[in-house]
Amino acid sequence: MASDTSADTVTASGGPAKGGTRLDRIARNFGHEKYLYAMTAVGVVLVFLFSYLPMYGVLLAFKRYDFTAGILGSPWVGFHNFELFFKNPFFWRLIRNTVLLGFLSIVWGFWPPILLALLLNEVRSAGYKRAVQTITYLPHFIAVVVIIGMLKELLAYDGVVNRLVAALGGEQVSYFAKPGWFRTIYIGSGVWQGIGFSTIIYLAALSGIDPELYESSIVEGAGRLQMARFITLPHLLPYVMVLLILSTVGIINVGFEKVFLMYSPATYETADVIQTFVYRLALEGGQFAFGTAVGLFNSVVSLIFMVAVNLLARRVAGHSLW
Amino acid sequence: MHAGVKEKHLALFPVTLFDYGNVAVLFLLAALTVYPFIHIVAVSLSDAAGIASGAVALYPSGVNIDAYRFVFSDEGMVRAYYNSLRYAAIGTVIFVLATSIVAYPLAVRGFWLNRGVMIFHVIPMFFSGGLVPMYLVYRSLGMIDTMWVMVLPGAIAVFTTVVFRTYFLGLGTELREAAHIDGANDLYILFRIYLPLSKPVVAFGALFQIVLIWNDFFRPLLFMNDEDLQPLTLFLRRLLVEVDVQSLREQMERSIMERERQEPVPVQAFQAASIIVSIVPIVCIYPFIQRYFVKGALIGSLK
Repeated sequence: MASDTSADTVTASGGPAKGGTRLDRIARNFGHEKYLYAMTAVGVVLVFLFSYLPMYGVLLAFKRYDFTAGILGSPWVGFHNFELFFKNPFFWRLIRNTVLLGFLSIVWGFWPPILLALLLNEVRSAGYKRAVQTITYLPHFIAVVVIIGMLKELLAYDGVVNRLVAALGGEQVSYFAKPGWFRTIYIGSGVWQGIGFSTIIYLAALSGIDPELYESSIVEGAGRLQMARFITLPHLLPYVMVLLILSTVGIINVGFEKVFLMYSPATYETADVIQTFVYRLALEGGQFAFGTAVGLFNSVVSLIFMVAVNLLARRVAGHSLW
Repeated sequence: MHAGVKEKHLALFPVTLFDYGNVAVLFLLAALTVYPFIHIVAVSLSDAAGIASGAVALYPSGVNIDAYRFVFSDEGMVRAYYNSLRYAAIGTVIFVLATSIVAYPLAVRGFWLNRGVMIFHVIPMFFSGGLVPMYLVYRSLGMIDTMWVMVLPGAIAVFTTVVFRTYFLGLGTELREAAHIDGANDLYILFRIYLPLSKPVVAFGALFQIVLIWNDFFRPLLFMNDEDLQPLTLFLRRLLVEVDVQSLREQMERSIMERERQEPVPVQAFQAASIIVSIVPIVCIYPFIQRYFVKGALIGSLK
């Protein structure tokens, strides 16, 4: 993203930039372009306050939080907080739940939008295609808390799903209280929420295919399946790769919000992830330093993961983000 | 997306069984997407007997709008609704102003700071301090229980800034140079010349932010303790997720008795009506989302 910023010369448009040292030229440019500097500053200040300041707070991971002394004044304790986490009886459960939930979300989430794009691509009526698209991306715009509220109503013990199950001779289940159902509900509803919206990108990519490719293949006697197999799908591949790489960040950065709204002590066994653990630790338990350390562990692992996947993708498929 | 080209190709092939199957599968998918909404509408319109007997699946039983009356007379709900509307409106104005101000210099070719500024904006996408430092720092910035926490931290987002910048670049450099010669400054150029020419991208940015703030749960959960200031999402959490149905029923009966109303509203109908009322704004802007959002999202993601 940063790479397409145009050539960096001190000569901003309009500014006279002959002679003098680099510093002189910058000073002269500053006089000429003071609005540009001020406008840039707006963004820098906002991002500094709300994104970079919390980064320095990460120091707390190596300290013992002293409320009166603040983050900087608190005493250092080295890796004590991390040791605490690694020795925590729930450490492996948290890692397992987090990675499994993230991994399964990708496994079940990445291909349905591709399939939907391919199916929509074969629809003869533009109106029908548009209608299906418009309907399927609706859930993406609905608040997670509303989605979970609807799920709780549908999957309630006396809800529609259970009544259907009972009518078919099955056994009624309180889905939200059963650890064994948590991942299925989380991932299933995730596909339902995301399939339409993810398809947008693929369909846009498809509209970029040169029509002559199809035309010449028709002349050569290709069938629809062959066109999908040899023209459409290969064209989607680079997009699939980029989206897959991006989604790997999510393997460990499992969406806090949805898990938080879905889980309960009854389902911690499969549902409790690192982020929700951090929330309970810090905001309900007041263990700020410990919580920071666990959060930092999460960020670092996800960063390493993404760099590794990107490297692998470049090696294997020749696609990468940077 | 240019409709027609692909359809023309398809017309060259005979209609096969696959076409019927395809249409059917897509219909099923669309039905699966809307069914939960239809069900919730049905529940919201049903009476206690209908809900208890389990007859409500697709259409309501014992149709009445008591649940909606109850929703609109619930003080907490109305207050939360008003709060969310206010945050979304103010937040969206701030967002469009801040994003266009930040994107403008980035769209000036050759401004020497741009590469560095871009990197500065992108880094937080890949690394963040995490939940706790964010909480502590925002707290020390005095953000707890203020409207600002809902509107300021999200005022700049890399993705939308790139979308705005790309659009501004497309307007061409001559525009700025010509206005400069006429003596206009950059703020004038941005607000009087660029923005009026950038309606699609402003619409996209505004929709993006309205949806984000309206649906925001994480920030209010951390920073909004004062119930008077809480947005709708937190209210809905108490009503739909944390709910202890028994105590909610008692609470509702009490408030019904207080207002001397006869018929009790079933808890589920009240919950369902709240869901429907909470997604009304999204449904209202949906035609615009369809028109502007998709295109804008593509400018950003295909970059």
